[in-house]
Amino acid sequence: MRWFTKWRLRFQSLFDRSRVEEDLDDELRDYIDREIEREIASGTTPAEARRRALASFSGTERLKEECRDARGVRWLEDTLGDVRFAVRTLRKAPVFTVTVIAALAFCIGINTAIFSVVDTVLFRPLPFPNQERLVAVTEGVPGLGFPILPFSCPDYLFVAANNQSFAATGTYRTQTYEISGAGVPRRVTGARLTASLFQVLGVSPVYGRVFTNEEDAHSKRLAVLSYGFAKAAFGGPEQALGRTIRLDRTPYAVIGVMPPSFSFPIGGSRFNDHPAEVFVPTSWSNDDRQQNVSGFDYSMAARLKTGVTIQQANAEVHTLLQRVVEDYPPKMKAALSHMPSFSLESQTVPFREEFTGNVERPLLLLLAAVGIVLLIGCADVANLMFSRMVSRQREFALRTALGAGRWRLARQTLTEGLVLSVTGGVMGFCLAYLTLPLLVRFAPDNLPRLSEIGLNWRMMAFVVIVTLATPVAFCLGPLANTFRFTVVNQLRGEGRTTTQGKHQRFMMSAAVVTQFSLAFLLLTAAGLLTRSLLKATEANPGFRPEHLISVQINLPGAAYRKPAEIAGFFDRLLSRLSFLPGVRQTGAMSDLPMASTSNVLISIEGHVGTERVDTVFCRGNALETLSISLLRGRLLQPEDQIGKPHAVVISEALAKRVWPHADPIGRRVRFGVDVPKNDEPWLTVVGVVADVKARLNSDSPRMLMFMTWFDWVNQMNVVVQASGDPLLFASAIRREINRLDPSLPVGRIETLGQVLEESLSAERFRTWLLICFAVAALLLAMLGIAGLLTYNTTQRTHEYGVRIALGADRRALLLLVLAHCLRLSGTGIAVGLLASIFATRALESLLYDTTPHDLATFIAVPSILALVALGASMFPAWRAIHTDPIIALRAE
Amino acid sequence: MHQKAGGVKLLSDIDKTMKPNDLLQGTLSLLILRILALEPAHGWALSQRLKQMSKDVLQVGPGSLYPALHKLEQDGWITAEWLLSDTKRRVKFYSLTKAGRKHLASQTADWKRLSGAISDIVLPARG
Repeated sequence: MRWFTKWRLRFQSLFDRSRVEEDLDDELRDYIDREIEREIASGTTPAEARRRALASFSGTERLKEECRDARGVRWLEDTLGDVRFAVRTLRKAPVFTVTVIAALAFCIGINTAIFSVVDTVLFRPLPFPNQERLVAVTEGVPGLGFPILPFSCPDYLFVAANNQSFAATGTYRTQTYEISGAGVPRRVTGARLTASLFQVLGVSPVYGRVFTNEEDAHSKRLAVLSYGFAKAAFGGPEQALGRTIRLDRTPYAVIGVMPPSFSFPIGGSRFNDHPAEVFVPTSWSNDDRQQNVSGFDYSMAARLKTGVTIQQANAEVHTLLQRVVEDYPPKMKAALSHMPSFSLESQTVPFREEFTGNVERPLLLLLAAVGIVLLIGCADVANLMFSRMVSRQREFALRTALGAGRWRLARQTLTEGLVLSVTGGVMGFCLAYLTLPLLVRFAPDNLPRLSEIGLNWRMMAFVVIVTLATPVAFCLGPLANTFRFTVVNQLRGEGRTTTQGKHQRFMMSAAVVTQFSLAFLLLTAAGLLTRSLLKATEANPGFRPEHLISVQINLPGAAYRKPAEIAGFFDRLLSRLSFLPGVRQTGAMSDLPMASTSNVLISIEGHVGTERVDTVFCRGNALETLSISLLRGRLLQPEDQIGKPHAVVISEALAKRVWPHADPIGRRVRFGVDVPKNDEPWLTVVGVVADVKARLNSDSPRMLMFMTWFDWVNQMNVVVQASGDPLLFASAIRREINRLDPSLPVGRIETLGQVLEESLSAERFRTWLLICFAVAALLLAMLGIAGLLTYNTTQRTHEYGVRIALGADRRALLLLVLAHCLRLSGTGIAVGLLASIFATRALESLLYDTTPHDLATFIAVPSILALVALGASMFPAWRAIHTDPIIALRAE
Repeated sequence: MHQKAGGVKLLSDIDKTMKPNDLLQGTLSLLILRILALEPAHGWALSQRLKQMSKDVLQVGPGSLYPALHKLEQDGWITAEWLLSDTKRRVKFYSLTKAGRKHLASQTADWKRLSGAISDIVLPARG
């Protein structure tokens, strides 16, 4: 408790000074009174007693001062005095103060906001206990072009059963379910996971329980709900327990609800996009466990044993994967014996990398950008401080002459800086707090963990550090100056306008040059990203998104068991839709061009080896609806849908890759690897269509194979081409689906234009942010150069006055200011250009169809900067040529 | 920067070089703590007790007494209380805190060691 007493007393001495002083007076008076009484009692006259008592004090004031010192608050009192003084002086210069605080608040604000995002996504520990021991494990077949894959069920089971490295292993995959029995039927993301995954993550439900390994092994229909889902569907987690929900029309008993903080899989994961709302057992069949060695669907998470490194664990998984092949079913083993390039590899990474891989670089880029804006802002403030120092030089000199130590003056400057930066910091923090929700709203889906964002101590610590560090940055120059000037010169200079020292002029110019080169860097980065985004937006996706609207339909397996039922549903729906007035074409395809892809291997008749392709299953006039242009042969026809489908249409990229010199029409391919035992039917190529892009900002050719087939696909995207605004058909589409199956939930109906837009949302987000920061940097640099030139003109008012009085041409004065401006900005631009040439290489991976040395950008950026510099010099130039010689000379 | 080195502490570590002033300050603190250990007292009474108990050898004026008292209070070894005297005057009574009592014990032990050592050197012939 001693520290508590100490600080209580200290606070009292600081903030209740009058009482403390009063107490001290009372205490001393009491002593004097008693001393007088004692003297009188021993026979002295009252007057003499009083004299003696007072004499025993060798100076009451000094004694009081010593008592105050004993309380140990002198330094605090001094600081408070400095602060009060700083506030008073700053109030006298409102323009300066407001400009500096606004610049600092803005810079600290955006830095805090971006830091908060980056910290949440990249740095903050995952919300799992001992998260540093969590790893994500993947396998892969690099020889066949699949370096990173989730696990297949048999491989996972083998690794889980035989490893020595992991304390626990678990696996999960997400899939969408139609949910009924909890409000209106709709589609939810569900996760199928092993019971052990809860142990791996170290999480337990807030209500009820999770399922056990035995229940999973027996395929029990049990469900654990996310907190949000339980609340939305049942009004609360307690009410959800014991209820029954129907997933794809199969009943599941709700046995537990996870805590609100549990969001899994974390958004933006490699193989699973969205956090699940329902968690159900994997319910693997025996077939899954032993036969399905080519279904790579399950993401593996594991907890390392203490003392085991990631490398050791990975080495063990790799060894196990070499052994697992021996357990494969004979048919698979036989097939593999024909594939020398088949070999299972493994990769183990910290669990965080499961979802930060794609966003790390853009986020760090943004963090660097705001850091640069902060630097530019600091340079602004430093220059403003500098010019203030000059006008206060005489005050400082006088104070030095009167005995103020230089350290004391330096401390004063620093205190002033701190007052500015703390005010700016507090405002910046509020700014960040207000902009965070906006940032989160516009953030793309692939930014993980944004729901966790908010006020926390890390954000506070960041603000405090930045706030305390900035004054050091912007006070250093002015401080150095404090130690340089000589009192005598300053005092002697009285009565004459002081001109700035050489050293100071250099420092201020250097600050402006730095600002321009940093702004150059940011503008270039923003320019390159903008070019890249524009090119991606204008890129030809390979189909015509205009007038297209689509809706995804998943037919629950429990209700649609036979392929014929599925085909029947879609055929009926398509024909009904095609009769709607205004509908031009209708079709259904298993994956939209921008959607995730299904990688499969095919073998080609007469060729050795395999090809990796994306298959798209079509129904109706899918290719015609999307206006994918036919290059050779024919498109899929209704006859292809009847009976065994044998016809496929391939993309140009695939055709060129497999048959570079021959006509692909009439050639045959089949699923699976080319081994004698492959009994998949042969498929005949009937047509070649133009390439369709997977992502607008990617040029990598896509191997596509379109075919009609309904063996296992119960999820299709129905696409409608309308003659007018496609959104007008949304309700009609909904109505037709409801008519065919009233309990089928209808998902989001969106135009393909929207889908295309969304596919670039991450690029758009970072480009816009970077543009904002670049503009801010530009404005701050403009402020910097305008400030310096204005200051310079003010300093030379006298000189200009004399020149004009002597008949100088005003145009010459204008040129003088403009030349100064160009000298500064020109140097800055040159330095920035050099730096950018090297620095933009770091952006290469983020650019589409744009080189890091894009000529247009490298011409536009210096032009903009030069124009801005000229614009900024207008006001000081105007002032220079309008100097009134009479006033200028009288001002002395 | 203006904070004075805590004189009280130094006695517990006699290896460190001591300024004479620190030694005296520390001694005064020790004396004050010792007297307050008997019963709470106000400043004047303290100085009288000190004079009495040292048979008029140690006469500490208010100029040293009060800063020392305030320092001890700030350090948390003693605590102060305002009471009304018989003559209705506000009087500040100091008393030892629990921490102060412990501190006194360790300081006393140090003092014994130190004074013994000094005696051994200064008065070698005795005994």
